[in-house]
Amino acid sequence: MNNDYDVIVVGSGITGGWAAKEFCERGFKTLVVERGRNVDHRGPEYKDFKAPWDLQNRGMPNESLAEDGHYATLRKKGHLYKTDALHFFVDDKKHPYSFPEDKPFMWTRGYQLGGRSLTWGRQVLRWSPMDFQANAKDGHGIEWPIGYEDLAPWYSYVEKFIGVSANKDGLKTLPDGEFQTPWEMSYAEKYISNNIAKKYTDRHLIIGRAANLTSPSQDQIALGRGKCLARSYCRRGCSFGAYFSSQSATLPAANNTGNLTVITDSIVERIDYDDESKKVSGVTVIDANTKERRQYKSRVVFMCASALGTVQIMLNSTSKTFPNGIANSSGMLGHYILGHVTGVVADADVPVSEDKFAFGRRPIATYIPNYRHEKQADANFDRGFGFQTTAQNRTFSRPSAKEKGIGIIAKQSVGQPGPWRFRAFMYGEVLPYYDNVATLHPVKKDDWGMPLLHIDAEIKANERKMIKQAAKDIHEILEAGGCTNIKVKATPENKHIPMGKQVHEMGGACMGNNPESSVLNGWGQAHDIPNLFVTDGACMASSATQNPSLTYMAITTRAADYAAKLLKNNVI
Amino acid sequence: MEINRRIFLGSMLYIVSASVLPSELKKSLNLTVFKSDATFFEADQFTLLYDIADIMIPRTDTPGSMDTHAIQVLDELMISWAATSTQQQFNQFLSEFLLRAKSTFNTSYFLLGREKRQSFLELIDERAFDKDKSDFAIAYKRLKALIFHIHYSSESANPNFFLVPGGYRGSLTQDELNVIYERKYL
Repeated sequence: MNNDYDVIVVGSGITGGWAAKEFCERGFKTLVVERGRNVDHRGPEYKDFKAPWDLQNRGMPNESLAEDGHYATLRKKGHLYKTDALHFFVDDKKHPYSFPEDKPFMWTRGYQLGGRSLTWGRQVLRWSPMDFQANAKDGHGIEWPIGYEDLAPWYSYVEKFIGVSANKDGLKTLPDGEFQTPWEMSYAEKYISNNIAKKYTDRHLIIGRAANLTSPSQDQIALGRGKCLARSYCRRGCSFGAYFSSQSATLPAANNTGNLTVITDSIVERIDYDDESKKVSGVTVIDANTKERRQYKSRVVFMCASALGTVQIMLNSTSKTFPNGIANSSGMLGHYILGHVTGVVADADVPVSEDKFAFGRRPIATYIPNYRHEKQADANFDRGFGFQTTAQNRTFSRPSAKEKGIGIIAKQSVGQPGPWRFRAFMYGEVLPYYDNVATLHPVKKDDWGMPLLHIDAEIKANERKMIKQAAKDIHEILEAGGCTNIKVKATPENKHIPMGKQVHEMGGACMGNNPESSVLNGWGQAHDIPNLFVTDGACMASSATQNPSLTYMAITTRAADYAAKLLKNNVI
Repeated sequence: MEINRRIFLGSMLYIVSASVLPSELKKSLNLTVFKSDATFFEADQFTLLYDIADIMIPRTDTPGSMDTHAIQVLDELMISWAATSTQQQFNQFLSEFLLRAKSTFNTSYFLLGREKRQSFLELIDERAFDKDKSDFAIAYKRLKALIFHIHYSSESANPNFFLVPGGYRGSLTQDELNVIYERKYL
């Protein structure tokens, strides 16, 4: 095999797939290096045509896995620990990481072709201009070197390709984009949304914006993608290609060019740096099965290995010039690990007509976007929060083996229609903290000899204050929405809230204008090395409150376009 | 009814055999007796579990645990899913269950009439969710949870489940919903 390429993309998930597509379509020979196994689109690993009774062990993972300490992170999440998609998540016993005992970190990973693009939440929300201005405005973290206007055309570019079903809501806090037909709100959700609109001008309940096709374009159909049929089994893989993933969209598009090479089971150990040319020359890879090392050369390296995966590889890429990790002259590599925090869950009855029902499994929730960008009189914290919400189906009495009762009477109570219930989960912005940091463990290594990533990150006083306010707010919002029997649960101050629980880990190689205080410039290009780019979550300088993947994709396409021009002009 | 059972999951077949109890007694007991060992459970254990599940989720106008083959599935899960600790826990529970029945009624559980068996199980259920924190109660609750999970995740117990709904509608009347159920697609 020829090991020389124009571009090497490390990782095949959301951003890796995009980088591959963009470079391949511009005529560059591109190598995608994936540490996990190959997963074929519509292959046997997709379980989307399994009814509940067809799932292995009725959905229950073998008990011995827990007894032997496997999947510790996933087991804590509960709803993901099922046999329908367990194979798309990493077992942290096989792939350990490290954290301080008193600050457990939940790192959810997917080591396979497509990475977490197979299992992501598909909520695609643009950031607003205010989100990019937040660091500069309140002084937390590193000032963003780019703003909304820089990304806006790339948001549009990405949305057209991936397919976003959404409503044009006209909110300045959540800019509209290129949308397909939105999913319908349920009767109860419309009731709440209308009531909220009567009381507030700044708080809105909207339908979520989903990367699930509702009106596929000819280009999407040509890639083999079809309309979403409301199964909501997305994390099992979708044989219809109805939700966006690397397998369904970007990798096939890249492959169609003839410029794509993909290698799987290949763990990038380090990015190779040439002290003389002051450029990266490629990557060194460990074969996941044989543990043999191989080198691949390229003119450009794009890091798309997920935020923490990328930080781990960069920290491990030491050289004479960069003894503390590649492109780390600032010493900022690994710092400002970011994320989202959920400390409030609310639940309420929706007193609407009892003769209304829903059908189907809508693949997206409803959403209350952040309305606290501007610090308000009642706020003793910086930044804000939004809520992921839903009342998509009416409740039906379910069999409860957790309560007393057996026999005919207990059985007859099952399946009776109950009230519509609305649930809301706070998604708050964790401020950028310098001391939320990822480093390499000084001693512990994995089976391939890579030092474990040690993640020392926590939420702090600002987020605790935010949780208190969110609890008050959602109670008020649900009252205004006409809900009854409102129950709000806020995580007590003395209860640990692990970072990483919402999966949206970001930061560690932040963008910034100043090479002395940031790793990357506004193009995702390393300040220190012109042919090294980082465009996954690691590049983020703040987390906002929105689900971040759409922004990663926009940043990646913009960076790829920039890097392609540099390549064509032989600048790099 | 007595059933000489062979492994369920592959064939879904039952072989009805000759009675092992006198027919009069069989009729009055209303007990399904299994003569041969199952994949994991022994014949007596299987008979007991089958009866427990039938009392917990009887056949009414909707399928019961017998119809969804809950205990046959449980038997398979004991091999494919359960850890050794769970296997031991359930074995001990079943032994203890029979001992308690004997101690309470001075005769074998299998010779009790349906009413007595049902009231005995109802008492165990009530105590387990009340104040009983014993290993026996914990095991009972786990077993109940498994039987419920197996039954209510079965095809027969989910006649309105749609693997491919075809779309989502959020505001339907009962009549409109019934039309969709009839049509089997949006």
